[in-house]
Amino acid sequence: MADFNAILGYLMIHKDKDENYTGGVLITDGYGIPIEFKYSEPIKPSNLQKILYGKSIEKFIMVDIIAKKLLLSLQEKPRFILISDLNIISSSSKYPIVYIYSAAKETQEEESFDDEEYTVTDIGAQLKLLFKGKITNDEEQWFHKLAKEFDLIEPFTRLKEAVVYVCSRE
Amino acid sequence: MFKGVKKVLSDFIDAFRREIGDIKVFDETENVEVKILGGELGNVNIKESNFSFEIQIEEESAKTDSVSFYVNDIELKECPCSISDLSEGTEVEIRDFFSEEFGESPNVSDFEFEKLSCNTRELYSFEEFMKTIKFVDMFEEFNWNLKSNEIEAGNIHCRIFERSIFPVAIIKSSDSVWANIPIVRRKAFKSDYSRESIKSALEFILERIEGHPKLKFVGIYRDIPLDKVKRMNFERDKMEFTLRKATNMKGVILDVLVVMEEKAGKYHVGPIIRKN
Repeated sequence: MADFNAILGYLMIHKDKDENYTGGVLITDGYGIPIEFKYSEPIKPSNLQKILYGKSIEKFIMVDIIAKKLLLSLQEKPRFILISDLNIISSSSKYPIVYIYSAAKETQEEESFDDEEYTVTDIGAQLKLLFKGKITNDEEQWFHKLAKEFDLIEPFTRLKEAVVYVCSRE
Repeated sequence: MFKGVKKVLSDFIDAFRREIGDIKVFDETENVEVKILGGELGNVNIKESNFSFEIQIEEESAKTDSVSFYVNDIELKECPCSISDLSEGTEVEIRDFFSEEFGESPNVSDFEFEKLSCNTRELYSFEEFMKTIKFVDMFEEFNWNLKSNEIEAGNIHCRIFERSIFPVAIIKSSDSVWANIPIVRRKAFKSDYSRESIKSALEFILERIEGHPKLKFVGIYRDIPLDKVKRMNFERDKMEFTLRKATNMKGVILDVLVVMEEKAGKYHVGPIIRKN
């Protein structure tokens, strides 16, 4: 059985076709059952903001505005924050941020992510983790154990659905 | 001079009125210019206006503005305005507008405007800045109740929206959102369960079913919070379930064996113990 007290965070920022950015963070227990969900109201950068920030506007909004505030707002204390978008890996957080992806669907983006600060670890044959620095053997085993228990990527599907929903509602 | 211009305009319009009927001239401001746009006489509109205003911003707010203009039955031919950025003292003059900048109104595309001529100083790229300006309801009857943040200048009414230069994320939480989104569980391997466990789970189910209906094995699913589940849905290789609200409390997590009563279309769930 998985560690019931294990708490994972899933972080996602969604950009819709109208350039609305909406973020969500879903905290689950060690079975993928939600225990906390926070989201940000959609942010649409004004043209002035686009001018001022130039090409960095997207990263600025996703990382510095939405992700940072979402992670600060958490009441639960996840052991790791999982992300499925490399653009937000530099989000500042007191929790370690881990990019998780399917080994089968490794994209060029992941292959070309060449930063010596980051390490890649396999979790079984199916999953890979990319994170800043190193994780301990214990942590790696912990991920192995969780991955056996439930699909670690599946909550992203739910999170995206939730974020799209709140974005359409706001 | 103004009267002279007006007289010329009136004559001009009278001539057109004789041709196409109803034409209005708006605005009483000086520097009146009349421009007739549109390819067909039936769509002829007269555009004129010339005004300026300055947006005042409280010093402490450090905000900039986007400005929406609401004009009744008139498009702006020339519209200088200045926006004072308190930190920089920058002024932006808006002199004219591209029709494609005007927003959603399909009628707008019937018109042509002179190319944007602008005078930007220092901070802003004017063309980009212009995109923050929207023209709305241009062709509706004039019926504005001015609010505190609106400015009236001649026939032109302006509404000012303040926006921070720095976007701010407003964080909210919700139980109801995630409670309604189904959680997916894939079928577990039968080999993870002993024959005895499977038999016990089936017995548990059969004890609770009346009669001896024909049952079909659906699957075994891991880690189901049985006491929190609101609804279950079964598909070929997966099960989806939603949760009741306020489930952030520890509950019972069990593996379950699921069978279907084929005739009645009912599903029955029994707890099952996994091999170590």
